[in-house]
Amino acid sequence: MTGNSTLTKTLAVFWLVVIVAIAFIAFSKKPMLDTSMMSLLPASEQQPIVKTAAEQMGGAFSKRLIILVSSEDKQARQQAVKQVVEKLSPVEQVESVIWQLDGLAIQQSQQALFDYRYALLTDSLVDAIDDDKTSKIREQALGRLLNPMGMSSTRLVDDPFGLMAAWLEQKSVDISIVPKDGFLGLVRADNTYLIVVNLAADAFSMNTQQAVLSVYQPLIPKLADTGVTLESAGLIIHADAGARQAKQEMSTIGLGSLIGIILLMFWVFRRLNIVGLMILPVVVGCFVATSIAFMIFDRVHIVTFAFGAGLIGVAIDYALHFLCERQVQDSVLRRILPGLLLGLLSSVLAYLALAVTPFPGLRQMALFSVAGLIAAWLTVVLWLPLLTRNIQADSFHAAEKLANWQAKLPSLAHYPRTIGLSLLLVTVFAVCLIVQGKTEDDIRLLQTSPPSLIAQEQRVQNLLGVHSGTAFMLIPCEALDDCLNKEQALKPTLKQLKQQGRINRYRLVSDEVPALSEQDANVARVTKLYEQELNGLLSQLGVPEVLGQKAMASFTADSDKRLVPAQLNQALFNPTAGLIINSEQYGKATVVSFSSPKKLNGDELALLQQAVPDIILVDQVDAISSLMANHREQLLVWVSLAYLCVFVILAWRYKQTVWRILLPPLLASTFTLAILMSVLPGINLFHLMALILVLGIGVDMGIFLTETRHAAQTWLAVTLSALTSLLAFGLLALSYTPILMHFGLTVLFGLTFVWILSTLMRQTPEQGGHVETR
Amino acid sequence: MKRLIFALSLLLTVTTANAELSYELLAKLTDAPQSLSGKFQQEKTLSEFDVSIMSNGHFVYERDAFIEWITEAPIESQLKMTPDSITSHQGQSEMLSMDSQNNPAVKVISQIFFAVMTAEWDTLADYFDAVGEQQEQRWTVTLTPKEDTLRQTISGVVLQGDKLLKEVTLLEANGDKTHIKFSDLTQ
Repeated sequence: MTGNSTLTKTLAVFWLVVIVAIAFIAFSKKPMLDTSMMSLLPASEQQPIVKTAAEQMGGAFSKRLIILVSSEDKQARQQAVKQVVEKLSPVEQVESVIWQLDGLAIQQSQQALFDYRYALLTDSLVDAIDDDKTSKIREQALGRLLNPMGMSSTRLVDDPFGLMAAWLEQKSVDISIVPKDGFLGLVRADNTYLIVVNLAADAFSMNTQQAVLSVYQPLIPKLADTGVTLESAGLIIHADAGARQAKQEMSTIGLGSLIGIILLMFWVFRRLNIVGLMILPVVVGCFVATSIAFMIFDRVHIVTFAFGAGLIGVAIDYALHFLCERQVQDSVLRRILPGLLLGLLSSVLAYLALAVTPFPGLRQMALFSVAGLIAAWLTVVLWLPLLTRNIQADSFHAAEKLANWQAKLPSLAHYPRTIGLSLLLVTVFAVCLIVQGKTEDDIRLLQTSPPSLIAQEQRVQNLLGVHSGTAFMLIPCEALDDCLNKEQALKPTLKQLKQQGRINRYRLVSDEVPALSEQDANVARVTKLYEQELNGLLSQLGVPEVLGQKAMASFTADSDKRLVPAQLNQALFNPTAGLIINSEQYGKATVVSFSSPKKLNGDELALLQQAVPDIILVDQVDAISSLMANHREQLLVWVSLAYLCVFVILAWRYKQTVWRILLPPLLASTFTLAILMSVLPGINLFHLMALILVLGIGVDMGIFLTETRHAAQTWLAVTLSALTSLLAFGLLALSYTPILMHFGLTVLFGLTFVWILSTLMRQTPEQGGHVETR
Repeated sequence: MKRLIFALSLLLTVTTANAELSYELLAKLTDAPQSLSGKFQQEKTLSEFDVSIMSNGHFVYERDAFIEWITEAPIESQLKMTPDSITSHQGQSEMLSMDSQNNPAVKVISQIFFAVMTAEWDTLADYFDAVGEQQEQRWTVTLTPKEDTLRQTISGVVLQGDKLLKEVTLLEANGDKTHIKFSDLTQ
């Protein structure tokens, strides 16, 4: 006995050391909270090149904070820009702040293209030369040369027809940012300057959010006093809003449920130290789970914590069970250990089923839960016997009261026909509802950012002339030049679609850098133009003939120069940035970005494929929605498998009574799904995840009840555990974060049904279940 | 003593040359007619080749509405500017049409040209610093761009006139020069 107790003590101390060690390792890492719904989903289903393209296009958005500074008063506006820049520049997490546009740099960057003037022709020049209307170009050039406000440099020898000027003019149509009073001005908003903040780190890092936004956000009201409006866009804003809302809700909801649980426990046990003992395993469980999650994952998702809130209910189960049983017998541990172990095992198994799914989010939740459960369980088994040695818990009063009340409730044993039949009817009805029910996998339903932020983002994007289009076309190829050739082949189709109003605008890499073959063709066109029109032009202007020879010499010198995409990287604003995929691993491709009033369908795709057979039409929102649908179906299989696994284990120990354990959570899940499907637009993946929790808690309840043959104190324990879970999740149903709300709602319904069904299916004294406890 | 006189005369010259001719003063000196038409003589000098290209024609403008710039020789061509667009015609065909809403370069250039032609000194003050001198009715003012971007194309504008603008010299960044002389002005 002494040896035994020494061992117990050693193990208890050892467990304490483990907890401290885990905490120490975990918090030496910087915690990052993830709020992106995307990261919950596996991305691997997309072709790697599509994924790379999507990441590359999103990359700029995620590492940038864009600020618009607006005011009627120019002075105030300029002052405000300087103030923002002054505050943000020294922040460590800010890589650079761009707020000026150097006119010289623009000139240099345009100058760099000048060498390629003969190879870069605008569409209208190409058409004119191909249609033998070169005289029109000559007249145009004359007009250009005689124009009093000579548009950009007219170079009589180097570029008498103004080929480069025409090229740059066409390009500048797309420009939405212009230098203005030495600041970045916007073409579409007169009284606005632009500031671009490049972040040094991940927008999801709480550290970055804190550092950057704690400096930026106080400036908004401060500058508003001087009549200056600040508007911003960028992932960091949304990530911060999401994290903040989730954190705030988690703390109010968490605190609310904790207070509720403590009051409940106190009401039942009437002793503070007992309440403390109850909470201890929960606290240790949550603490260890959080530590391990931060230790293993770079970012921990907010949903993981929401899911983790469910731990409270399950973890408190063990403690309740232990304390309630302890009133009956002193050597309680030995007696309830099989039940506790089985409870742990079944829950861990259910969660591990999640861990082998392809969902990164689910894996994280599974690990979080498993770690938390094991820690809570170990705390109960290793610490509680030592801590409760001198404590007499007395909950008989409550247990008896509950038992008496429950005895009055109908049960399946008392009214097998009525209850059995009505259960059957309700189940059939529920199944009918589920079969007819809809699913709703649109990721946009899960949008967590407040509408005002989304509207601001939209406005900024409109002014900048960018669209965070989630749809784009991808043209794969062996060598980049092939992509450009394919784009050339695609262009007539795009023009046609634009004419028909099926797409609004599109952007091609080859509009900036034509394929080499096209550049060759352009030089041939210019040769024709020079042969036919150069002398005529010069004589009309009345300039010496020698200039014609010089112009020809200049043409010969530069006519073999070709522009390749890599050269544009040196440009100040690379118009092809993000549109070229050049990955060693996944291959090469170019992105055709476009916006369309309606989603492109099979018709348009067929047209596009006629021009470029291997073109890929990517719609990220669509892709994610179908991914969610896919995985919703898969998850259903996983949930069924988890039930099956648990069933096999339980059947081995409980034989025929296994239905009493499994039926309540199973039917509860069915009823819950039926209700959700009739009140919500549809169910999705996240409702199913919540049902896994219902399974875990429900099966635990069933096991404990069966272990003690539905003893009164066990009923008290499971009732309290159900109530604590309801408190924890029920409050989540009030959340403004859609995903948390759905979670809460599902578990709220699920557990209520589990308790009602367990009560209906309880073992009555006549069946060997005992209400008497001593 | 000689030195002192020299120094004084130098100082005097400097002050005369720098006599501030503010935009306010210019506004007082000049008329800003609602509409104006007249003839022009343009000489474009291409510095690199020491070549001049001459042209002439007539123009009409309606304040805040449009400027028509009709070249008669060496070829016939018509340029019409409105605050929002530049369109050029040769014979019956439209050669070049640009919408300033979408093209910031067009916007700036048409704004400046409008401002020069119609003596909108306020607008010019946004883009240029002015230095000038005045002798009785005649004045000369040199405008230098405030911003690098504008300086890429225009290194300066020299305006001369009395009640009305009589001569414009546009100095391009690459050394080219456009000199326009107005005559037969009728309001």
